[in-house]
Amino acid sequence: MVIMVRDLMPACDTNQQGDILRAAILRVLAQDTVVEVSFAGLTAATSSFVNSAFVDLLDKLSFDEIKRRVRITHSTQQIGDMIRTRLTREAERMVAA
Amino acid sequence: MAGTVRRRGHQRLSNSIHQREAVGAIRPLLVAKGLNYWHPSVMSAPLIIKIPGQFSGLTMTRVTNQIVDAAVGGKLPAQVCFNFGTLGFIEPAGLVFLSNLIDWLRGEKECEVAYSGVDEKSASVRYLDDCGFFATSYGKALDEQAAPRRSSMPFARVAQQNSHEWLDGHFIPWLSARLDQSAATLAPLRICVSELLNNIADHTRFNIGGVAAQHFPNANRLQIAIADFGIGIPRSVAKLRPGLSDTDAIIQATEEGFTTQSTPRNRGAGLDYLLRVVPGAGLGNISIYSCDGMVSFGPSNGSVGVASSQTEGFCPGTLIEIEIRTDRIQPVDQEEEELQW
Repeated sequence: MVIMVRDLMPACDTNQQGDILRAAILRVLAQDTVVEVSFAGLTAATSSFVNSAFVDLLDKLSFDEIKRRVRITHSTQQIGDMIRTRLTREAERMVAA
Repeated sequence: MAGTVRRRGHQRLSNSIHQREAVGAIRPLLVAKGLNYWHPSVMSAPLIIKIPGQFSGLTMTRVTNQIVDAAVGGKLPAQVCFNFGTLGFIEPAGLVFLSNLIDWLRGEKECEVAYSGVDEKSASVRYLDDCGFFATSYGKALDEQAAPRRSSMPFARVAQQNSHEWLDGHFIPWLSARLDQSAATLAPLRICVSELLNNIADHTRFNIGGVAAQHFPNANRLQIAIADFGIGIPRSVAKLRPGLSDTDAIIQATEEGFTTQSTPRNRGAGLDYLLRVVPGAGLGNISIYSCDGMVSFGPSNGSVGVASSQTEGFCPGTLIEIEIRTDRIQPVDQEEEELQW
């Protein structure tokens, strides 16, 4: 199942937009083993968006599970770096806590 | 971050330059302009504030100093008049700061605000008019031919919920054309501005930031200024770390992971990203002005260097100045990729 982020929102700037994507990801994962999240047509994402869309998945899934079940495709370098950095750091904080 | 924090003792210079001109000298100017901000019943003279000759981030607090010095018992004057007679050059930080200050004086302090000393032949005044300052702040441009210049992104008030439209509909197309760089290459810079607009929404009750930008092609420089009139970073940080100086509070706020949890989802990543992408990547400098603190961050041995200093006076809210060396921007491959963990 592929989620086209551009179909859900015009940009990846705010927490609220991230909430919408996270809800879509969780709906798919409730039915499927893997979800593909495509950022085709988008060039950038803020930390607020990524925190809500992906970091908050850590409330329901482990980091390893996210890496296994959530594929990020058609991403730019900036988007990929932001998702990787934010998830890695927050996952480390959770382990340290 | 590498670098040494150098602190100076707080110095509050009192630029008590009150020049109380007679109302009669000002009113004809305003009436001639079709503007009349003075209520007929006003009997007292307005407070005249001199705009600095070089109006930048470093000199903007001379303006607030004059206002604060004129306050009596914590109450500001009822009428404030900004005198542009000595203005020689204004940077985006000065433009954004002044525009926000006027909004704050009118909205929060219920002051009447006008201007004087405006020479329409002055290059700096014409620049302000073309940037939309007089139209935005006073309702009418000085010159009906005033129009944005190609090298300027005019002053805009941007709310977070409209940030996408402004960023992707105005700012990035303008920047892309000016610098001849793709949207993908400019994506980190776009996100820096978006992060700051998100910070304004998270940390202030107004959810609107003032933004302006100027390209200096001969100097290979781009300046972007964003400001709000929230409580200021130091006061926000003091809720978690009381006792820090305003400068140290600003430095604390940029630490990755530090958050005052102004909103539950705030994880303290925005300012850190700004520093990594601009000075951390050798692209330029970031200066943050808030309350009595000012901190400048620049490249230092492949990392970020901190040089701090106190301002001459008080900066209400927060103003962030981004200065980019446009000749150091590296084009980015637009090829899409799959994220590899």
